[in-house]
Amino acid sequence: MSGFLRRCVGVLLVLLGVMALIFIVLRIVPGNPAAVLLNEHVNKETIERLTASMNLDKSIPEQFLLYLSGAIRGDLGQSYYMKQPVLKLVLTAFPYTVKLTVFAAAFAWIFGIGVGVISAIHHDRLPDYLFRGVSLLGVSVPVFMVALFLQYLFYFKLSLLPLGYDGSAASMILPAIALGWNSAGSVARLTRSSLMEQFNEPYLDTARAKGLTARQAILTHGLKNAMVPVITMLALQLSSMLSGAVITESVFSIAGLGKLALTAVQTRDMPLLQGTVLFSAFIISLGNIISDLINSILDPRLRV
Amino acid sequence: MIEDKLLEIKDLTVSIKQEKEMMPVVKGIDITIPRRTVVGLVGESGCGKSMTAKSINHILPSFAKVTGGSMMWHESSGKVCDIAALKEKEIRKRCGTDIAMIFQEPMTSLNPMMCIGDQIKEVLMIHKLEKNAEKAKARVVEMLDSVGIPEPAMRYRAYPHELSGGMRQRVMIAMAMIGSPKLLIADEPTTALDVTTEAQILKLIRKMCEDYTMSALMITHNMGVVSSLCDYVYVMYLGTIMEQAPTAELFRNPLHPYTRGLLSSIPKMGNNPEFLETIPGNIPVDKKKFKGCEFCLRCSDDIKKCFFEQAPLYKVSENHYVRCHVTGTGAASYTDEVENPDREYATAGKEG
Repeated sequence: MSGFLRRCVGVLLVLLGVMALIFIVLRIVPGNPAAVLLNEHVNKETIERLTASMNLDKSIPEQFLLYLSGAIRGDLGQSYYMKQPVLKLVLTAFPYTVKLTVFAAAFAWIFGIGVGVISAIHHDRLPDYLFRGVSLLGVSVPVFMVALFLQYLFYFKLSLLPLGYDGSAASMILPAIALGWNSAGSVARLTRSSLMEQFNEPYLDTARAKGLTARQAILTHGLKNAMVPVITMLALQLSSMLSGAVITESVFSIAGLGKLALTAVQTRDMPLLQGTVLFSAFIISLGNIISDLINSILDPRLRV
Repeated sequence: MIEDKLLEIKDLTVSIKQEKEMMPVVKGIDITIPRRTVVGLVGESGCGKSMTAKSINHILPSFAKVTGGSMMWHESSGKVCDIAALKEKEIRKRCGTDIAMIFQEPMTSLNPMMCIGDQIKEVLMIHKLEKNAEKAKARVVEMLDSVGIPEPAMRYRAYPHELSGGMRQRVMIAMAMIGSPKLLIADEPTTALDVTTEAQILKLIRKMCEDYTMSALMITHNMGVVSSLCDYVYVMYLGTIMEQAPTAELFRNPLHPYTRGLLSSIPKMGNNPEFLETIPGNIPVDKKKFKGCEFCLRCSDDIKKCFFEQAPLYKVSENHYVRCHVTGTGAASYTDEVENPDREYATAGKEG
């Protein structure tokens, strides 16, 4: 329990660090957001008035403290561009991203682990070469390529699935595959090597001496042992999935966190960008804690 | 020689793949395991003991293969079946119920992610020996108790890393015994344990053999284990049986120079020797076909014949056989002994 508390404190520290970092970086970048927001032809006084109302005339530490005290109260500021509270915008976008990430992770898991297991069992034979090729493609092809290719194949050529996201479950399939593709590739490769490492473990001999066939022994005893590094990796991939979501959500026009972040960057909407980054960091930390929890359930040696 | 046979291994050859070539590591051995008998298989590391054991229940590593011979399993009904020829699915039906095995390293031989009770229960589940999960669990607890695990009901949920080495080996024994096998293969079961635990585990194995009227094949390099546990002993060197005899007979009258070497290598209490006795030399590594006696390069009694011709198993007395030209034929041919001119040639040929 104290371990769990320590992890929570760790998460808070990480969030604080992320907040400070993004805050400073955004303020080092040249250009006054107030000037960007307003028309080129407004006079200087108007710009200054807006600057002051955004607290941008204060020193950076002062601005940070103001932001921090707001954040503790649940106020992440007002979006410059959309003129709405950041928290509200983020919370509206959040469910879409969660849905996308969960579907993508599910695809990466099922596909990646399945392919990895088949590869490992048939190692150095035809199915293995085939699947290894596929997973190498998975690791090396960028997300937007996969997304565009899937749209081309399933919408233009086969007319099976919708082009963009329209709220239906079917329209979530392509984005999920596009986003999960890379992870599926790495999950498959790690599952294969991790499972093959177990092949020489004596406990598999024990399992066979008990009466399990070689394949049963691998699938029941070996796979459980092989899963620990895979779960850890998937949690780490959550971050790359969230950055991939920026692209996927744009290609498939999903109003999620990624799209929100992209809009924020394009319009120099500092509070909104801070809000999305903070939220993403929070999700990634949460994912890591969850993966640790799963691993400690799976592997008794990790329990405290 | 023996009427009530359980397993009769005939001319077993196991080869390992080495640079696309199959190299025999077990070279046509015959071992007979009678019912209710503990048979020992002794030899130093790398002589093929474990390969022999693992070929019985088909768990050889992927680079090794049985390339010849048969293993006749005699059912109590009188039926005979060659288990060497069985397919994976068929041999697995016998593993756990007819043939059980315990291994050298009880830490790595148990699945670290499963609690020990479930690992033992698995045997009952695989072979459908007990369909009711609650009853199966009760049987496991009972078994844990009979192998001497304190508080068995509580230990059911323990994981391998929470137990000591001796406890883990007891768990392995429980796992082996729960299917009431007819043959227990023990592959150096006490090598990883300290001496006091070793004695307890050996005693437990002996007791289990008696309680379950079970035979055992003890693989070991430890002559002490042989003397305390085995009824009959096979001495193996480089994949060949060199000598076989009832234990008492072997200790009283060892005939093969290798057996003598093994016995004199046991440190003796009391007389504080300056040196420990050893067998000179190492196991030769030679890929080429060598027709002579494998031991002759390390043997002090060798004669010229040893270098050119492998000795047959000479029958010395009832149940005592030895594969040696010198001692097997009544130690008659000592006159034949000459300085071996080919010895240097053989060493040179190895490197070439």
